[in-house]
Amino acid sequence: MNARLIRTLLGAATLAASGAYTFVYLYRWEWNRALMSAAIFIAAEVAVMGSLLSHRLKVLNQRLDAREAAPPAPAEHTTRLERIRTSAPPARAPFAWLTRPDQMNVFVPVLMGAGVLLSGVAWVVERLARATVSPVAERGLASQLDGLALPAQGFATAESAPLDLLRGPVGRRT
Amino acid sequence: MKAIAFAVMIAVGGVGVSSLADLTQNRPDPVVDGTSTTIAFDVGTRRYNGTDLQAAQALWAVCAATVSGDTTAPAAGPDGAFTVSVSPAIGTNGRKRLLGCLQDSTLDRVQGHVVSVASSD
Repeated sequence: MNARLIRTLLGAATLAASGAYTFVYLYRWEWNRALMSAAIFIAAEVAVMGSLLSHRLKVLNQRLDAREAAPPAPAEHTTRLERIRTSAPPARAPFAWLTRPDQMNVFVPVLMGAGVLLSGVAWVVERLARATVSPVAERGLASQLDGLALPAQGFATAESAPLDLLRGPVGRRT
Repeated sequence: MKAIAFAVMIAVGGVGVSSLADLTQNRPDPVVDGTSTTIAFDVGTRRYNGTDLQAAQALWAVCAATVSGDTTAPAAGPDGAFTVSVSPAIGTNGRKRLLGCLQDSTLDRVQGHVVSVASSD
């Protein structure tokens, strides 16, 4: 029995026992023991996962080492590969006209013309908006603030009446 | 095949979770006046700063809160066990809670062990 098998069996047994006892202790209402058993389950789970990942990394490392140490490909393989490469269809080139610099004289004027046209449209829209908009918001605000305006004759008058004290500033307006 | 395995796994998981919830759920027990339950338990201590009686009293002070009703203080018996009584008698859920508390690692350095539980009408 190698060490890896023993490790796997030990991990599986720990996982099974601690997981089962977590539920047993929960059933018995022994919460401290259930918590401890669950902690052991999590620790065993981490250990088993670490062992598995370590094994997988070791296998990958061995495979890479074997590939690097392998002898070069035989001549037949190289010939076959060369034949596949030569018979492959040419790669597709989207926007093929852009790959040739001698045809850029078409692209640039189109771009510039589109820019000029868009600038003209934006100028017209801006002029139209300036000519048609009216200060509606300011007018509404001014009408709402009418109620806060100061009385025309002020708060204090020269004549005093007996009820002025009770009326307050508004009462003395007349 | 994978779908069947998935369905079986879902069914087993659902039944398991439902069963566990049913087993660990707390429910009030029916109360019957004039009845009582007598519990005998012993304690094992390790480097506990006190006597066994003090350990039993400390453990019972914690665990008596898991059941409702009037409880008595632990009384030492001839066999070394401590006897307490709860009136009215505790039901199935109360018994599970009380035994779980007494036999759990509730107190540091003190381990309780329930010897007997008897309910009288």
